[in-house]
Amino acid sequence: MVAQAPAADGQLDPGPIVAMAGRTVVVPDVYEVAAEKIREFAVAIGETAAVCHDVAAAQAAGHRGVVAPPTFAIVPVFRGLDLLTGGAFSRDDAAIPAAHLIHGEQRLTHRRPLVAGDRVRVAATVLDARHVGTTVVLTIRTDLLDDPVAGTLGAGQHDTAADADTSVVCQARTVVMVTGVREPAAADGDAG
Amino acid sequence: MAAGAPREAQYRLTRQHLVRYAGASGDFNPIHTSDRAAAARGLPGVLAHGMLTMALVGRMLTDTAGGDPAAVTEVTARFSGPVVVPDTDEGVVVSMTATLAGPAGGGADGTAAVTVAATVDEVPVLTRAGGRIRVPADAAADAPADAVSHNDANPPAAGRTP
Repeated sequence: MVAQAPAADGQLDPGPIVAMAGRTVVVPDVYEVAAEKIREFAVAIGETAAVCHDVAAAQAAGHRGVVAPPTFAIVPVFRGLDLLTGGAFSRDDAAIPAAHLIHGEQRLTHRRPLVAGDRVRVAATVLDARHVGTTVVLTIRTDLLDDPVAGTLGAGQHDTAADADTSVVCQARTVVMVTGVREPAAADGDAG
Repeated sequence: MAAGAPREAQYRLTRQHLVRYAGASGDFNPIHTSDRAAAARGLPGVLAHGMLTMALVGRMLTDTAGGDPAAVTEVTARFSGPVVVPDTDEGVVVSMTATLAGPAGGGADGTAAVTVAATVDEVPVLTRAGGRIRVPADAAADAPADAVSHNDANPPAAGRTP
């Protein structure tokens, strides 16, 4: 999480943002994938596939519960981004407010679909943070981990270890631009 | 669906869809709902969530996979151009074309790449968009090669009509 208060000029201090590179956070709360949330999301995107709405249809197709559309995974993925930004999606006083974020790229890779009843742990790692002009470009990998396995990993222990990899339900790669950041100055001390 | 035969669809997005998506996804960035917030950011207008546009890519992949969202193993997009949604009944229409690359049955892992082009008024709004789907070996037999869906019924709906 970035610890900073928005400056009076509305510009963000790049130091703490750039310093996020390499950091991994694990969202404390397990994300519980709920049937009604899947249905709500499916309605919002116009996905009418029966397996997204009807439990019987989903079970007939071999699933435990209704099936989430593939981009539903962004909901728990953004819980990780919320934590990294100090509440961009949940707090009015976020360290990096949503108004400073532009979503640049997204990839979601599924080992299997998310289905109602899943419990996933969200672990997000900042792979790269580059300060260019008034923007910091963050590249983030987020793993959605099956909780029964993830529960054996403490916060900070999650890494690219092979045993963790087998529990990854979905892996996301997110590029997000943090805008309205002070430009690098000669005495900026960017490395901090 | 035979490799190379494109699937086309048009999706109409109105402010109502953005509000609905905001609630469903938890992304309440005001640039997706407020003209004032968008203007304050120097944007040309209220924008659709990138992930809503990407969700439509997901629907294209799902449809290409015979209607099975569980067969979509990857979705990807770069949000290269804004999708401006005016506060009108007409909103904006996003046109998409999905092209399945590779053989029915997929590659060694049983998946095949799908590329998706997305435009508004013929201007691309996504680049490098598409993903991977698991393709049943008999997919060519039961999927129309020239399916065109027009989601522009009234009320206009990217969301289902209640």
